[in-house]
Amino acid sequence: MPQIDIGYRPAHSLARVVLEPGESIVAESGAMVGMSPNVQMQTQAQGGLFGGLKRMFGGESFFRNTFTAQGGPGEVLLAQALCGDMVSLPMNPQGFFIQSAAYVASTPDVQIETKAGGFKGFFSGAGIFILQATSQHPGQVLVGAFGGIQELHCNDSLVIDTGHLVAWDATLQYSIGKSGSGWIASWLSGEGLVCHFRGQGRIWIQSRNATEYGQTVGALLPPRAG
Amino acid sequence: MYAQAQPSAMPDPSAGVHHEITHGPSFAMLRVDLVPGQTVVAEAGSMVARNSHVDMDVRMNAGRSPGLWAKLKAFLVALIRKVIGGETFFVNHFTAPSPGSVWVAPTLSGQITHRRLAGETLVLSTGAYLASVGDVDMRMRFGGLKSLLAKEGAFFLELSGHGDLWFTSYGGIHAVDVNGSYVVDNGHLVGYEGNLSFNIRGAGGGLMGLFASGEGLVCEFQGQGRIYIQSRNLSALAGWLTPLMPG
Amino acid sequence: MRYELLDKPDFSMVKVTFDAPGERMVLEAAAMVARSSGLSMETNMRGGVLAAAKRKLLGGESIFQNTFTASQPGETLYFAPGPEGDLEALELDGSMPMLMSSGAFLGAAPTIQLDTAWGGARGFFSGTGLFLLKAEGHGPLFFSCYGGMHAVDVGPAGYICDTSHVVAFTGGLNYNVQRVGGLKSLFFSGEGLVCHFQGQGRLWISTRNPAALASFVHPFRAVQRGG
Repeated sequence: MPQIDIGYRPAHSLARVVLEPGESIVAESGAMVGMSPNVQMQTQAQGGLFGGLKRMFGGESFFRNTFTAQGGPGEVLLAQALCGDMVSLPMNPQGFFIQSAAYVASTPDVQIETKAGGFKGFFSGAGIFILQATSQHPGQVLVGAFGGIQELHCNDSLVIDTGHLVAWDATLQYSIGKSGSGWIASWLSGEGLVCHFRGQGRIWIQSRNATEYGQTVGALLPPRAG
Repeated sequence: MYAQAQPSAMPDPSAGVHHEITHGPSFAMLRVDLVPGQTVVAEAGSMVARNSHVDMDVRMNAGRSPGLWAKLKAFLVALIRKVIGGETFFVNHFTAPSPGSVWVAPTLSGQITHRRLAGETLVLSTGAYLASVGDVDMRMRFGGLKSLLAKEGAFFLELSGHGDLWFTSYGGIHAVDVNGSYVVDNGHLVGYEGNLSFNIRGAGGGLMGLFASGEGLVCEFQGQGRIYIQSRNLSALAGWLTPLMPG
Repeated sequence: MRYELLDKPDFSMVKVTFDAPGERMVLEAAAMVARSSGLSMETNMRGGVLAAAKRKLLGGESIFQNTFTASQPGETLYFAPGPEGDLEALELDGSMPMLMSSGAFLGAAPTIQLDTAWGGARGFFSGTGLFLLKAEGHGPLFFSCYGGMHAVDVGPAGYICDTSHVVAFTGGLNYNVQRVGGLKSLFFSGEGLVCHFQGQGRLWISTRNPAALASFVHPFRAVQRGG
């Protein structure tokens, strides 16, 4: 299994993946920062080319690149788009659910499927999808957050703002809803959608909300062509 | 490995609030452990997580016992800010019938600073306020017409009273002791205390500077006191991003 | 003039303390955080009007610089870049120029000259408003990046790096911008252009991609009315 070292934590995390000759790592498109010259990159679309294009029209790109070291050991540097921490989750038989923007990379044995029914940020433009990671063999999933990563234990129930979700154990039940007040109050208050968790399991949250950040910065930029 | 907070005893509500700031200095997040009778007031939109039994109520940030006029003024200002962009003025009140926790965090990266107010006054730029517990009075101060037209730094919050206050900085936070005068870029100001007066003006640089310096507005402080500056600025980020934008 | 680097590595900021009147520091537009009232500020175009005209101007790209001059010893100046991340201070001794992304330049002593550098046929940062800048002369040079600053000592084997992550490199390195993985990869891989560095020297790369941040924020911009 490739060795993954994460440096520059917690804000500017960079994963250094060391590959033995012939070993591979699969990463989200755009995650590569640098690599040694003997690493080959191959692009594949999740669910074939059609599936990949479907994702693009849905506003979400889900192409992944497979990096393989040829003729000797190799190194690939990977990072997510926004500032924040990264953590490598060892796979278990139950698997994880991952917020799509948090997925960075995984070992080739891990199956990553898009789960139907993502959720849109409250009155925001960006759509968020939920990914499901499962594997019959040992593996690793690398997730990157916007902000710091905090592991919470749900013992019974917990309410989490959807913009702060990174990943959670597939053993938990979850449902998405309004934050609790009326619609007007929700809009004025800035609280968007929340996720109600029930059961036992771990939830990884990020200490910043990317949609809110995007809105705050976007409001200061010159308008774009429609 | 962090586990969910389970306060074991029932502390006296009038004593300091049990809280923890984690993930500083870059992505600080605040967890407050509530007991019945305590209310955490937090900036709208800042909630990250809460125990299911913690109640959340939206209010306008019009100070603790506002009259009708103050309420109307606050509502109007909030609506203006919401439409033209900038800081909004709604807060959430969190209460719990049994012990529970609420996690809050600001929008931008940086630190959270805790301060126990013991009767003194602290003036913060409105974006810096995160949360408070106790007898903390908040009064809005207007920074002048020029600053209203800038997207930030138009309003200041004057906080006084007794209680716990948490405020944020975009980036790191630094104190500068002023004795005489000092100039701070409007977007880098977190707050100030002491008998300082200030004047918002253009940054200088002559006629070309007015249009091209990129510096925007500055606050010139006079007097004696302490100012808090932050090492990042939202307008500077927007300016840096603009050439990178598609379309 | 002395300087201190604060809030490293996440929100790096420079604090300069001037020792004598007349000392100057040239800063990128919008970099000033706070300063003693006695410092005077003068705005001019980088390299003068003619050199500025050489630049490719793209919606808001700043070609202006601000020069701060001390009037008394002990005056202070704090400055910081726009994005969150780290910064590096180098003392140039005139022997080797430094090349950097125009977005990386933060400030320098007035004894350092800045000019555009040849970015190769495809352009180093194609698709963005950035260009390659060359700095040479004597004195302190400050450059910054979005994210953490990761230094790579490039040797004979070379190093491949996504161009959006290039912050700065020493003038002695050979650089060659290429597409990675073929045509399909250009459209679907998200990787775009890479730079192959060879020779002896040092390369600074950012652990975050400014273009990725721009793409992230883009959908949140207000849409132009009419037109």
